[in-house]
Amino acid sequence: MFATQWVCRRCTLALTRSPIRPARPAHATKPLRRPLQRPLQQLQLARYAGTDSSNGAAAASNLPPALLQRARGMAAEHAELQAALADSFDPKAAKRLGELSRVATALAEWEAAQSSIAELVSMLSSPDSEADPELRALAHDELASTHAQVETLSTALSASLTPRDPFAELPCLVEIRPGPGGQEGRYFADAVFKMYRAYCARVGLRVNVVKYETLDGPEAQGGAGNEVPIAEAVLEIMDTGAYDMFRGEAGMHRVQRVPSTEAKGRTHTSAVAVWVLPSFPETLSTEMENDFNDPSSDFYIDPKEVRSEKMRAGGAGGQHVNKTESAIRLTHVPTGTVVSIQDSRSQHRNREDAWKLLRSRVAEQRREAREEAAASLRNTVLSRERITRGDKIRTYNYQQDRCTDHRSGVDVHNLPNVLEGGEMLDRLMASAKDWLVARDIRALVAEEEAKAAEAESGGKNGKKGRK
Amino acid sequence: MPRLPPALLRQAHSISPQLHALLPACRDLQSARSELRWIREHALSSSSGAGQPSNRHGNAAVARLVARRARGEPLQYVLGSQPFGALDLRCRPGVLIPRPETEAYVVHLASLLLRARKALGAAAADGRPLRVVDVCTGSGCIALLLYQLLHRGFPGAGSLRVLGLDVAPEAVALARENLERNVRRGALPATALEGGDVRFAQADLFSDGEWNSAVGQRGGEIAGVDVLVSNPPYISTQGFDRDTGRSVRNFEPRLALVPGAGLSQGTACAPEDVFYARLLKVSRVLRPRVMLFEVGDMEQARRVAQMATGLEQSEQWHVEIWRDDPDLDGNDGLREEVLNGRRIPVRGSGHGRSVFVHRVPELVT
Repeated sequence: MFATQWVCRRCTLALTRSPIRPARPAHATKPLRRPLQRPLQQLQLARYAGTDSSNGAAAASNLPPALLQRARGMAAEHAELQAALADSFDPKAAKRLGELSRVATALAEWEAAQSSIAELVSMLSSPDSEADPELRALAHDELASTHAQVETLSTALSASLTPRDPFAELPCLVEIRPGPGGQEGRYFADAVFKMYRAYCARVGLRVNVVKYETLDGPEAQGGAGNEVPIAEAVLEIMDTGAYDMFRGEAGMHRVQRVPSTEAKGRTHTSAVAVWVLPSFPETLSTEMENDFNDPSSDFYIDPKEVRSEKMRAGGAGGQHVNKTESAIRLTHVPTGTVVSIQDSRSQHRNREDAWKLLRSRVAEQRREAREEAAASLRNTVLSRERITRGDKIRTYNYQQDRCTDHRSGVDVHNLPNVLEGGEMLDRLMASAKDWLVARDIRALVAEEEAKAAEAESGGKNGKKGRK
Repeated sequence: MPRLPPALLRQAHSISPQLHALLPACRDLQSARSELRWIREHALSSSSGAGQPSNRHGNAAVARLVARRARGEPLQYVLGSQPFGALDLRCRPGVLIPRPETEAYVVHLASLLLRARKALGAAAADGRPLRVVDVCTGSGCIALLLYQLLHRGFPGAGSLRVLGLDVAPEAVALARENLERNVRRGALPATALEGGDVRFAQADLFSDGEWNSAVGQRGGEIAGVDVLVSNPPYISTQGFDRDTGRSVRNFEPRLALVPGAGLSQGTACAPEDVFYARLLKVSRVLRPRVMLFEVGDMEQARRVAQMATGLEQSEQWHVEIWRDDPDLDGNDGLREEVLNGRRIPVRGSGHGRSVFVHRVPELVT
């Protein structure tokens, strides 16, 4: 019956439930939509059987009216601004226009698809088409493909409505630190570091090791392969948009394996924290330069609030000695953030790297604080699922040769490929990103619905008040 | 030199035998670790140019470099380079290695000069460039970094001219090599080389004829100089034996560290200060508006500042003492010195490192 040897129970269920697509009914156009749409939905359910069913594509297949309304409102504003800008240029309006255009184009495409569906349906129902079977068949085919298109377009539309991450376009810094769990966590931190470095090399992203601080301990002894215990590593990914690619990687990465230092063969569980911070590209665009000096920007740091210290060699200095190290430590006094860098031979590079790291850390802290405030205002949908640094997001299990992403529920085998930054890591990262988008959409829907409900009850209260 | 504790040596050996070899030269585990990493990176990058070498080949290269460093040779000579600001300078035995303190005050000086660009550029309006002379240039570090930092503020070929002088021919050759190298790497603009904006020449500061011809006379009148910078030899003979690091004493040129014994004959100043006396004397002819001299410690800084207060028309001249990091606050209450009844501001943190003398009101902060 099947080409495959076995099919898991859920897939079988999903497949058996979906009716085999009936031959195109030659009559009655009304029920036509259902048989076409249902198998699609159900197949999708089969695909996402492992995860929660309200995932991105499924949630977006029937676009909530609240979202549609919001999109229409934004598109109207877009048109208005465009008209205004035709007369006189205003940089603020132009910026807003750029933000809105994403929604406007997505909505336009979605509406075009909707109208073509309506047209096709009316064409099918018109008496003329009865006479021409060839035209009918064509219209049927067209309708099926348009329906499929609407699916993707509505996902795109809801995704475009979600607030765009302010740092999405930026390069990023990936900070890796061992969690609690002793030496084993430090060895695994090295494995994670090498995984991301190899991934970037494979995908073709430019990286720069900003900091690679090892702890005293024998090299290439613990862990698997040539792992070195590290205290902290910072990898800079210099391509634009890297923050968007890597933001799903932030969180606790858990490892379950038998450390090579373990004599009795017991499995240890330890964790590594990965933080993804936005960073600045080497050459600043003018817009970013403004950001840099704008006190309201997340990246703004008042130089007066930073205490910088240099490590000095003992003795007279100057011509008397030639030291090779030039460590610099920066302290951002209001937040207590401390950065110390001594990785490069160049004093100049160390200083720049330290500033970059400090700026990124402070910006991320500010954003987190802001999101925290926003999340506590919204209802529980978002706050429950927010990833904080404390939650584990992924498990690397060496015995079972498995890597699981806990948010998307995706399991992949072939762990060595993951740790080499291979295609399996791609899959995990893509699933995490999908999950993030789906989460944003859900939060948005919840927010819109809450707003609508509030408006409704507010209206009622208002009436009551008037009585 | 204190002995290294055997426990530390054992620990280093358990991590890597190469670390153990580097430890006596580096003195602590952290810096030995960093140096080993830099040596490995250097071996990797220099061998990767010629295709993929075998691992064994790379290991042998690392071992050779580690052995040289373990004998006490400065890392900069072993690797052949030292980053200096945004530049990468070649280093060779026979020429002093650029120091991080030098980088710090050059960066600070450049930022001050850029801030006072209008006042300094007033002279440039009539087509005369801003002229910078670096005496005892060595690897060319000060001259090149000043050009790199200032050239944006003085745009257009020929509006900023830097001249580096040194008595040693190998230093002049290395400085020229560094100029070409950094232009090729894109760290310096092409105008530095092709436009002749940066030049190096061999000249003895103590020979009137030599430096006169190097700085350039026009029709018997000496072309003016705006900025005079120098990192001359300033260590006393006793200081050389007592205070210098082993790798400095054994591997760096004594000529760049200790003023020659014959130079101080017939002068009133201490033998290690003889270059400053000479520089201030030369400044009467060159008439610079800004001068900056590196010094060895606070004591020497006071002596040089005192000499500077004795310049002609001393009320015009502002004298400051800069410490290792002129832009960081020392937080130790040392803010000024009183010499010859004049208040001399002391800026920054660390050891006394340089003396800043100028007669540009816009530079007063």
